[in-house]
Amino acid sequence: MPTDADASDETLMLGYRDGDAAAFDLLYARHKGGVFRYLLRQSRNAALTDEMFQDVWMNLIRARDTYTVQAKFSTYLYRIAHNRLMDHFRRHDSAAVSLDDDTGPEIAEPAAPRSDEPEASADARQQAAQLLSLLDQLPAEQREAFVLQQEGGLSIEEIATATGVARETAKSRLRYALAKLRQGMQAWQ
Amino acid sequence: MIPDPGAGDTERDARLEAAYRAGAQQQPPERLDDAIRAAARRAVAAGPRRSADRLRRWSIPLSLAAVVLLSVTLVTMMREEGAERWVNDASPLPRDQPPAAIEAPATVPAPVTATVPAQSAAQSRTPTPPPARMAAAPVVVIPAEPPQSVTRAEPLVAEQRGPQRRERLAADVGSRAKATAGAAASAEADATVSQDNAARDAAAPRPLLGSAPASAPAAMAETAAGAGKPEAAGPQGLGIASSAKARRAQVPETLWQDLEGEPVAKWLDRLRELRNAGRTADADRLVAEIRRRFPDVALPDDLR
Repeated sequence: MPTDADASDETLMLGYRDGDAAAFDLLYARHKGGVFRYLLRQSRNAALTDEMFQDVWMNLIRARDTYTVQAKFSTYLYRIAHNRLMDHFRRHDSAAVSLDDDTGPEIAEPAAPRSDEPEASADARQQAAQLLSLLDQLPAEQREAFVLQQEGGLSIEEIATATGVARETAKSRLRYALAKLRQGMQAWQ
Repeated sequence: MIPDPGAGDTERDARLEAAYRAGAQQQPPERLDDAIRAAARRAVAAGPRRSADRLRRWSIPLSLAAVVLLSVTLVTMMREEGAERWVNDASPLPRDQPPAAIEAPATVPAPVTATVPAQSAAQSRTPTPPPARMAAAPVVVIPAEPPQSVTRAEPLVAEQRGPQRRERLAADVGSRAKATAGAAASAEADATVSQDNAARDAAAPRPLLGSAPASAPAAMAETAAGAGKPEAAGPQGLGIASSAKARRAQVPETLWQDLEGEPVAKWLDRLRELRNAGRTADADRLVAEIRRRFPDVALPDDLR
């Protein structure tokens, strides 16, 4: 059966499970950037991100035989990525993940826009840089919730599923993240 | 101070999303793309995991089938073994009896086989060697003093009369009256044997049954002397049940033994004689035999 470019993620994954390699290519093209950035934001280490990124996809390839549609594919994929991150943090006893920390540090003052660039593009670039800077300062759980929403397009329930927490916890983390980011970006409004 | 995320806050913010998208452009290196895609293709090409998965899916039904098959085999084997054991239990004499005792009939009474008709006795003249397993069985010592609770003299006398009559009957098959008397005597002997068996079962432990039916030594000696022929000590492997069955089969044969090959009219004449003589049981047996042999012949009303 030829692979349909408009097919859903779940259909593509089922196709790959049944031996359609082209379906995997489509899936990979759709999600590689999001997964990569999610890992990069959480690990903040380019070399480590490469390693974990490869592991995530290899885990997906290995698990293809047992794949059944029980949730959105992106939830499934980001759950694999989340688990890989947790493995790394547990193994290296990293302080990067603090599961109970919902407050995090105070958000730094936003950087002022530079005046030597064309106004619109400079604004956008500076806003993005400011946002990423603010994002880096968020607690890992709040950052994770925000990145999963942006990169994976996950809802609160799906974030909860991907990170293995209760819905209310995921919702709380996301709200805190948004509140802090909004506060940090007030200078740009 | 962090503002409390109240109910008015939404979980999405378009401005933040736009700012994030503008800054989030990182992509994995191409070498990783190639490596991952190649791994995905290799996995598809390899394919054995599919068959392994299929095997895993079938593993439970296959295991169940194997268990059922094994159980059925075991049950069948146990049932066969159980039947064999039952047969051995029904004829314990040869198992427990040493081979020497079989060759020396004077030392081993055979009250049951003494009642076996001449025809059966002739068949049993060549003693069947006991199976290897039986030959290997331990020899049970016959106690010097029999248990006092069992008295077998009377039944043994009756049993001893049996073979003599049976031999006479075998010699004179033409005499139906004698044959009938022999049948009656045989039935009587059967009853005696049954009572005897019951008494023996109740009185003595099972392993001693074969080796010590000598619960009354005097009767034993009498029996052995009276039946000093091989059939007296004959292959007791025939057992009580088989000898009784042989006797039962012998009784009706005498009624129509001389009618073998005769037309149905002769059979009906014989039947009429029996009816006239008032021997209803024999007549009924003959009716059954006639119906079996001549199913297409309708019996006259007076003979039914």
